[in-house]
Amino acid sequence: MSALEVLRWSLLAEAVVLFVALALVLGHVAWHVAADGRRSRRLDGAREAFAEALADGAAAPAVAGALRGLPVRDTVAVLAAYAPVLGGSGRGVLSRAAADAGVTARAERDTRSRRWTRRLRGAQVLSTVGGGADAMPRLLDDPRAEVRAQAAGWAAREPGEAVSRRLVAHLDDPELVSRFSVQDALLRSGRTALPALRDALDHAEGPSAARLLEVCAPSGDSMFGPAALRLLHDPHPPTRALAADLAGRTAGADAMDEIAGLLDDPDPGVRASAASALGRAQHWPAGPRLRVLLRDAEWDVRRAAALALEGFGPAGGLLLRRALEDENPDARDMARLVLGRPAGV
Amino acid sequence: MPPVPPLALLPDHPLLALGPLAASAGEIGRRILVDSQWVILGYFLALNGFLLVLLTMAAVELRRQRAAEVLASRWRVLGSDVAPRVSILAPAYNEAATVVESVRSLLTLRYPDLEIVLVNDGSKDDTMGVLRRAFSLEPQHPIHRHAVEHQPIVGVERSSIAPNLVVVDKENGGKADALNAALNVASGELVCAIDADTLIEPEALLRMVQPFLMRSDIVAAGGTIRAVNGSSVDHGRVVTPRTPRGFLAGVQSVEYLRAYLTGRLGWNRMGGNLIISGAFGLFRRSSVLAAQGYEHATVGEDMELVARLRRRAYEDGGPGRVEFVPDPVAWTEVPESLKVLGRQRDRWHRGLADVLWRYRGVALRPRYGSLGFVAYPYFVLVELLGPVVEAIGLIGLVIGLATDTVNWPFAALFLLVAYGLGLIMTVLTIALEEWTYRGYGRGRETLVLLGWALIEPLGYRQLTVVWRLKGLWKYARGNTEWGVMTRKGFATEEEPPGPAGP
Repeated sequence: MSALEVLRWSLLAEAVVLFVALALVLGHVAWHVAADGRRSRRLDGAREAFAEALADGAAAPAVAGALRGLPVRDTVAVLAAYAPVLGGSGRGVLSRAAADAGVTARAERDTRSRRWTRRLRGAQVLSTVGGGADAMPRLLDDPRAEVRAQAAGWAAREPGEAVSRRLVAHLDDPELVSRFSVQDALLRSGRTALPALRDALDHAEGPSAARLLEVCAPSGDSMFGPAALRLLHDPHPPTRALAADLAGRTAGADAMDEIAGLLDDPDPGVRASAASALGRAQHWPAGPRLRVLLRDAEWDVRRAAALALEGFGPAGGLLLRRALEDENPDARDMARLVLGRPAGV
Repeated sequence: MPPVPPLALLPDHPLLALGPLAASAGEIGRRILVDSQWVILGYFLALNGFLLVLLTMAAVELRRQRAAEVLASRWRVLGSDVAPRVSILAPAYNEAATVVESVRSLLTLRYPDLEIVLVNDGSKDDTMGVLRRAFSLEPQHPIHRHAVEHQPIVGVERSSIAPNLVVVDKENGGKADALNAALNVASGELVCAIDADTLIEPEALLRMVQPFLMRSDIVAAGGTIRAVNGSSVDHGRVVTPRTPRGFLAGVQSVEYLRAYLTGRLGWNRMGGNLIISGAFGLFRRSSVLAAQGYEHATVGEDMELVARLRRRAYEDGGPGRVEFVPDPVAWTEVPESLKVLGRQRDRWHRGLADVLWRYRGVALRPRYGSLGFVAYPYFVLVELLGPVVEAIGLIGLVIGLATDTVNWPFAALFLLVAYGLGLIMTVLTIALEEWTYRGYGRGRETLVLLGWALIEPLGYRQLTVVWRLKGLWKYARGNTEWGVMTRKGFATEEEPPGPAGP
């Protein structure tokens, strides 16, 4: 085959590909131009009817009637538009309307699909409109992390003792996305999840305990105090650091000495966390030790110690001003920064 | 008429009349010209074949990302207590006229734990005064770790009406220097580097943070940049997006689309990206600090940082994946004058050359995996040397035609094949866009995009070759100037660094 023939055939092949690509794009544009207007009118009408039915306090079948005749995709779109702004009885009506319109059953079928994208889609729909109490817990053990994460999202909306215990068991999920969703779901579950968290924390250690502590800390519930004190001696440094933070929030004044013991921990993260915890608890007897910590080799530890001292008020301020004359330049510098003085003063 | 053989002198060729020696010299010259055309055609085929693979990878990746984002999963991040804190780093220099509106726009971004660190990089105008008046700034502890080097900080102030706004007032040192100062002051686990005049979509951060929640080895994520020219903007928000109608902005919109939707998305599945646009990129702060922040002595500081992060990951074994997320969109005004655009492309190419020269040590070394064997060679052979090959091809073709060593049908078909390959890539990219995001809107806007796609390879592409060659020449001569830029709509004096060539 001559060079010119190669080029001619190449050109012909290109022309075919280009024609097909252009036809697809133009066809899609034309189809959308024709269909979008109709769909948008249909959706607007359904949204309006749906909102009116909800506002009138209509029963679920009547609300579902507003969605009658809509394709499933559009029905989900209408329900998804209202779901985030509805709570209480309104949310219940929306869930029952979704069931009456067949959306829930279809989504439950999707959760049993062999294709993970379809299972994910089903899980997303059920998380949005509610329902799926039988289908969704199973997805917490799905082989795909994205699906497990979505199932955890659903669990946050349907909190319960049993679901919380399953979520806690998934805090050690190997995939980050799933762990994030589980942590998030447990936090959103509020007090419902606390007993399950306490039971798990009582026996946890190492990295598993660290993940539990991250979820337990924001609640600051005193039920976590004993476990936090135990974990102050955990061999895993991040666990000790998180335990210091939680113990500072939840344990009594007698725990402060144990936390202060961590100011000499070999790990800088633990020292910084202990300093912050003591500062937050206003445990001023630790002042002199925090003053020594201003000489620490790690910047984060010096900063935590300085801010803790500042939090003690006038007594801490006095220690910080004394540190301005410290023989250690790092301690002087940190004290100067926290006292807000310009360099050289 | 039988086809004319391209590989032999025509019987009536003038060289044959000058005797055997001249004819043999002419034959050698002709052979070089013709062979070089084949080499260049081979280069085009290999290049476009690779781009087609990239496009396929982009389509697969797009499908995966779309499947995972259907409905409202990102809203879980919005209300989450465990979402990582994001600090937006926004350098500003002489932005008194626009800074208040830009900051207000940033403050309205939807994200649960957001901090905005605006750096006044020694502005000569009243940028600082305007900020103090608009946001009731009050001095705060200048307590921050001096982890990376930068010009001295004069003061750190916090807004009393928007407590998540921190303003750093520092001596002038340039964009990289300002970003380094912001890195020191920021408290977020993730930092989002932007240009002060970048318009970020309200939900962009919620989407951009997703890779960091999906994988623990991500150090940086980039989003799509689109041309805002022609769209209607109100209070720092793109209200009605439209495909630009002006020629230069229009062809750039196609260029940007191809670069982001096909190029960078495809790299997600082929060893990871090497470029995150300086106008909109999200980074893990600890990794950037460990890499000593932004490099001052380069005009391609955004690409340089990404290359450094990736090299460090291979050397130290830490996280080093760079992901592109097509959905979070930031809008930027692209140049509409040849002079300004030429300066921009010249600078991008100098930046690219500089970074590739700095990191030449990673090339083809097993230690650097896909960075050394796929990404680096691609950037050298395609992005850096592409304009050289294209110029040689065009000049060779013209000489070949002038000396009758290449015949017209061959030349015409050669050009058509080259044009067609580029056009197919662009149309397929627009097809992807049409099936997914339709960022510029529907119907007519897609048709306008197609129009620009048809025109772009005719003249504009050759102009970019000239600008990029100029950049290479300047780089070889050691020119590291940023270049003064002007804009129509956002009244800044310097043009932000965008992608190192779409």
